[in-house]
Amino acid sequence: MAPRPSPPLGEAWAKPALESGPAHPLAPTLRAVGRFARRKPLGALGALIVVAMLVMAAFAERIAPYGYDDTIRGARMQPPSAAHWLGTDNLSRDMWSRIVYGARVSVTVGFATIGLAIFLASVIGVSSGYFGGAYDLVVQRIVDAWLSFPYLVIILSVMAVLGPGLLNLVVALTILSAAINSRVIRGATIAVAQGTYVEAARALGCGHARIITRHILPNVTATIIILATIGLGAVTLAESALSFLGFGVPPPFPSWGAMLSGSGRTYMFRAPWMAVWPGVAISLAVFGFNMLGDALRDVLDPRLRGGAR
Amino acid sequence: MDLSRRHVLRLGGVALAGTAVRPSHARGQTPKRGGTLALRTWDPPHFDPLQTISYKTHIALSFTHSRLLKHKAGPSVIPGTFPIEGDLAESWRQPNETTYVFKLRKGVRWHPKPPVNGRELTADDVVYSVNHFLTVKGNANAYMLRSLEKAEAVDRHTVKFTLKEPFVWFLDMLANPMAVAVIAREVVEKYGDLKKAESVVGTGPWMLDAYRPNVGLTFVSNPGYFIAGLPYIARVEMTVDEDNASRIAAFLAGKYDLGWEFPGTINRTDWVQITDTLKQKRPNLKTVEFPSAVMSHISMRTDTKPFSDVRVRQAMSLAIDRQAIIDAVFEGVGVINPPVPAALREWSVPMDKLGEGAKYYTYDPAEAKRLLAAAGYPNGFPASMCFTTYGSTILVDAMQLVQKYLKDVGIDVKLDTKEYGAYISTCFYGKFDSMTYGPQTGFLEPDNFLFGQYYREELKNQSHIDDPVVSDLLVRQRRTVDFAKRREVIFDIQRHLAKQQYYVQMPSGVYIGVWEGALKNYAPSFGYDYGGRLMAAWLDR
Repeated sequence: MAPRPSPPLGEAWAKPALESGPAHPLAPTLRAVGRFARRKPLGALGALIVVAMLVMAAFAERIAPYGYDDTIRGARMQPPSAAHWLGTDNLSRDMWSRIVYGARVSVTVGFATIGLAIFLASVIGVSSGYFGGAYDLVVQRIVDAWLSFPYLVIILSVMAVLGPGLLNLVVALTILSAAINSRVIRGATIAVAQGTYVEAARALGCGHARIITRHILPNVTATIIILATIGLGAVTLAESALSFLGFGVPPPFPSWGAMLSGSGRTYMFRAPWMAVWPGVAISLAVFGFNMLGDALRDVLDPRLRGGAR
Repeated sequence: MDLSRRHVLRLGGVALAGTAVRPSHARGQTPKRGGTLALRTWDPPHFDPLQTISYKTHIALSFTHSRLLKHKAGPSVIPGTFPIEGDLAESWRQPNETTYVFKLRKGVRWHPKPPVNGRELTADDVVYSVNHFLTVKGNANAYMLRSLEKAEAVDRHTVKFTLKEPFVWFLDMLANPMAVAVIAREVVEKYGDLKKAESVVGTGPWMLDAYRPNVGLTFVSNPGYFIAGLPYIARVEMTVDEDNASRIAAFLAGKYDLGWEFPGTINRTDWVQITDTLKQKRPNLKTVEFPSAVMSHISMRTDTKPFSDVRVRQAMSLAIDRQAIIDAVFEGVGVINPPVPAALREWSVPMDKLGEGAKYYTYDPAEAKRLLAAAGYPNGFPASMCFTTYGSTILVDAMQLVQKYLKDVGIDVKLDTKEYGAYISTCFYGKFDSMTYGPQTGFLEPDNFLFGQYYREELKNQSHIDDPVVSDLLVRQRRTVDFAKRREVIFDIQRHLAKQQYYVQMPSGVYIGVWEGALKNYAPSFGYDYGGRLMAAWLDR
């Protein structure tokens, strides 16, 4: 085993004087998580829900007792029971299994959309806010024009051209989210770009690329993280809405929105669980993302630090 | 609930007999004039019946346009049978196997709208309509009259048709609401085509008064209609309603006088849910049950691998659990269809007479896998399936089951969902790479089902079939005048097709025709002729 390098002098001095033994490497992280949970219990609950969704999405095959399209003979529209925790649907499929697989769509669409959208929004927002001038004027007028359309019109138009499907859904939602988020990131960039350290860097002869990557981006990261977490809830809801309208993931792969809109509504009176559970899943997912986003905003935004919730 | 096809067919007859008694009670009443009938409808893509096969257009035009002949309607007609009677034609005769002569009613006038402004209809109008039907570009239904060689006006009120060869379905075609709606030359010349609402000018019992895209249509009675005293109903309000929950709520509230689904029915899945509420809220509703002629099927590129191998097609049919589909999407009440839907009770071959091919309508995934392996696909194969939802959860559910059953035998189907218009203009006419799944028009006679779908190079030959045996039989049945002999040829065609499985037929549900008790002298049936079925009905309220 290779010897551990000696810590820098400052770090060694900063260690507690009395230490009973070597600390567990995860201890600081766990302590930070504990502090976050104590200060932001709703945020912690949100994080728990998000983690649960991620686990469901990643290990759906292991968690779900049945495949998402497995039909179980003689189990049509069974109410929740020990055999089928959330009941079965009109095609004799296990609702719990479909909810678990449905998390995969929500997580994939949510994270892929937000990842792409935040990347695009950062490129547009940071460049527009940093360079300013005519470039900023042109870019922002394009963004203005884009934002002037009702969001559902934009999404439905894109989906009508591209057709239904997971990838197209991500593209449609990305286009919309990127425009909205770029405006916020531009605002943050303008504020940061006026800082004296940026002025100093420029005076020292740093190029635009270095200033943006070393001075601007690190200082707008908090804003970006907050936008991403809050946006996840909105995107999950939008995915459900689009699936509800038939533009989502094609069946039989389950999507919570499609489960709610299709058979869920048709059999609402006879088998309410077919509509209730996808609805609960959507609500929980949006609640989780939003609570986590709110808490992260409070923690990362220096102006809001110190709030109890 | 588990009903056999024969039970259901009998049920249809019995149920109808039950309702037939009630109108006899109504027959004692004097028909009331006036009132507004409220229906649910679908937004037509446009109003040109020659440029679309869409039921949305043809249903709307059944109120406004006349044909030479029409199907008799009313409580005395058993659903699934289509006796013919005159519409614009007062009488007709057939001097020989290839000649038909029609005497037109006198005094028939076009709607009082420009550019015809109520002028009298003549034999020239009928000749123009027939020729336009056959020659206009894009008319997918033109094949219905392809046997026609010549239409000529003998005099102002006599039309003579000469056929190239005997075509025993000729009168049925003329009576079909999808065939020749008689149109005026001036209208076509003024508008270029018949797509605009302004071009809806016919000689039918109602006139289009207003069209509000995505909202609805209003028809008002034609004061100059050629049958004196008809129609009784003064106004027909048709509402476009694309949301099923909204339709259920509207029907419960008494907003619609007929069942909201085609053709004036309610899906059994919805019916089971609301029947108790309806007993309290709408106790006067009347119902009748009859099998649907709308049959979904899987069409496939039989001109290319792997579907060119009959064993693959047979395997696909064996992979489908039809009874499970009936149980899951039709609440256990449905019929298994051979190539001609069971709803056409006179022409559909009973399963026990289907011969060797009958086995391919049973569920046998093990045999399906064996056939696939024998065809060189032991692990199945990937495929795509073109699809549109038609806004129907029943269709989506059935398609998911089909996808599942095919996957179970190794055929991994990726769904290619299209918007309705895109689907109709491509996949519905065989423009796809692999497979298509969807409902087929509920035709009223077997020739439309068989000839259009199986004769080589027909527009609706979705599976790209070129089978000389089928082609020969299809032509032969068209020339067989004797009813019993023709039926035997049609049974033979179905026996051959059952073995070939060019299309994998799915089961159909059993319709629940529903109408408000105040609507008298009405009986549901299938087909697009809403106007024909309501022409002599009246509202007792």
